Amino acid sequence: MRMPMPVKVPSAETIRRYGVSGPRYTSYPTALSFSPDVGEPELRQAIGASNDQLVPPNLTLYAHIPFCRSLCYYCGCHKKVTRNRAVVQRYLTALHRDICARAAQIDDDRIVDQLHWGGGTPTYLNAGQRASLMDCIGQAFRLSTESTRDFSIEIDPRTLPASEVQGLADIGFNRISIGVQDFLPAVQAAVNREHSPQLVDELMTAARDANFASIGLDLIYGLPHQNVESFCATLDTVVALQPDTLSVFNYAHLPERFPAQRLLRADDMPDAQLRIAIFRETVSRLSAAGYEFIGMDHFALTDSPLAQARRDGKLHRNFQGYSVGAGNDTLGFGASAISQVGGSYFQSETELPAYFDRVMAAAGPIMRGYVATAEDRRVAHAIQDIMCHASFDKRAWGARFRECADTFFAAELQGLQALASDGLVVCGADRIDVTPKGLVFLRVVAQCFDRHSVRNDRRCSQII
Amino acid sequence: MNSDQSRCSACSFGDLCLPSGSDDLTLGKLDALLETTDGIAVGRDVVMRGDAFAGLLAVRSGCFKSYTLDRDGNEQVQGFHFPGEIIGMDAINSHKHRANVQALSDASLCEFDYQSLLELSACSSGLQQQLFRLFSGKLAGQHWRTMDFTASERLAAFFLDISERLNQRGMDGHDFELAMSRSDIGNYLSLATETVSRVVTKFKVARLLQVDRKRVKVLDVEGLRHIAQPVFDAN
Repeated sequence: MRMPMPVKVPSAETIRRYGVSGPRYTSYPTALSFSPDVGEPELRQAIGASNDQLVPPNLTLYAHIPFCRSLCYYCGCHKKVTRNRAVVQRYLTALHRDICARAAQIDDDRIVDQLHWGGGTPTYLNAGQRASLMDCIGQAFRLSTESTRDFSIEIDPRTLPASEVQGLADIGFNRISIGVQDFLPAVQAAVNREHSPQLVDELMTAARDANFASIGLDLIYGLPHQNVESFCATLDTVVALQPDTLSVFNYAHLPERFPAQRLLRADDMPDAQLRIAIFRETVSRLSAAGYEFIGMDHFALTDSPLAQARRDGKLHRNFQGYSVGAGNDTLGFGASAISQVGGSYFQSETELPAYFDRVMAAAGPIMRGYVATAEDRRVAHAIQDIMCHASFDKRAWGARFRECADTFFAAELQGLQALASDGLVVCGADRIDVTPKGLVFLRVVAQCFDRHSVRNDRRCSQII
Repeated sequence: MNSDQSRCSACSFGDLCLPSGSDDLTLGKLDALLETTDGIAVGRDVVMRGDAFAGLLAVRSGCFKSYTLDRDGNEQVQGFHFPGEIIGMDAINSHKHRANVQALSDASLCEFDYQSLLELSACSSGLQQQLFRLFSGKLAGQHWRTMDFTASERLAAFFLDISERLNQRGMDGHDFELAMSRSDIGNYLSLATETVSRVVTKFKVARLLQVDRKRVKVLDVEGLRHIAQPVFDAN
């Protein structure tokens, strides 16, 4: 049992020094290391090895619904804006085959205790389509019936009437996250995503009536027209709504990679200094409002399962952010979805036509990936430890890998000295601990262990 | 002529394998009649059921399983074989191998020409006795699998058996990496694959074992022995 993590709002100067680009470590190595040489055969091999374990890990399923009714200009996800029902139907048919083909490779006693639908917009699907997709998943896999299971769906408040929230619970979801981004009308207009706080409130009320175990809200800072006062107003509204968890993402403006972002005017965006001010204010307001800092851009009410898991050392980081319960294998379904099995990564075709072709030809949808080496597993363990627990337990690592952490990480530990002298970490004989001042720089600490990373790689998003 | 490492006289498993109890003269002759095969890749079948029996096989490194297939193609695992153990004794009578033998890890084997081995044993009482010990040991070690034991009893006996065999080989019998899959183990012990994992989880919770993927740490030998007692009593 650990004490709640006391986050210290760092000085603007520290933020300036460490606010360099860096990976978010939802995987290690990151997607930048994925290679087209890795495909379906490698995934099958990884699944076989996972099935063979004495006690195979439980499963996390991710289903990607790439469709959106309209374009949000900040979006960097794989999505397709369409109203064409035929394309959607074709996609659901392919998704069904994708799910069934993969399920046949999985030993049938393995239990799914985490499920996540993301997008695009999962609530683009109507109630009938949602029910039949969940039915397909339930027939293909053995779904946990425990109340501790974590079955979540992302909601675009503009696409789901509050009257349909009960229906989500009926088909098995027990967690929702709602994409709010910002409540300020000028910001909403600039990013082409307009909805009222009342709409979000109605959804949350319906979710509470339907006994959802957790409600999360997503916010983004760094968008056009935001400033400290405006964002604080949004935060106040959000805190009044009392979501169990909160994600406050830093907008990454990479128009050369995400063409939709060209529709945003860089002149309207808060500059680096303003972003720092917004971030500092966010950390301090949310802490004061009873939200515990989980790590990176995530906050949770102190009595929420996520905050509890962090204190118990049971937090895990994956493509969906932070979750409870370590060590699951993740199977991704749909275009661009990423599977993670035994420490290796496999991404499905990102373009719809290619995804359709591969799945319908029963060739398997994997287009690229990364097969983890023994060295990667050792590094990944350390990075998980830092991202989830803000510490690196050298003894536990050594016992697990039968190696001396001080020897294996000699260069990395040397590199941490600079962070130690700035008070971000404390290096002990048995462990490295991130200090309250260093908490918001977890990815900087993690990057010290990253043997794949190239510092200041421009393809990565800004930390703050 | 074989290289130094592949000679019985230089082998670290000599005390368990054929040469145990042989005098130097016999050892030298054993060296001359053995053929070694290195670099056997994981998953390779080195013997197929029905193959003509030519000689006894001794595991030099790695791990093998022997298995048969029934009419419907269902696999039945007959046993697992560690360094220094002899495979193929059941083929002596029929002159044909009665099971397939597959490498569960990268491995190597020694093959002893059976005819030459017989001739050699006729003039070496040490070798004769060791052959006899190996035959009878093989028979005694098998029959409990067909008897009526619970899943916990079977698995506790299985882990203790592996642990003991590794200890005998000078390897770490308390912290080891299993080469076989859980479905191989279940098949061998006549348990559903799912049951293997359920019981292993039970052992983990009871702090008898620590398990990470296929790596097993034995935390409580006495606890396992207590559970496996009915199996030992029956042997």
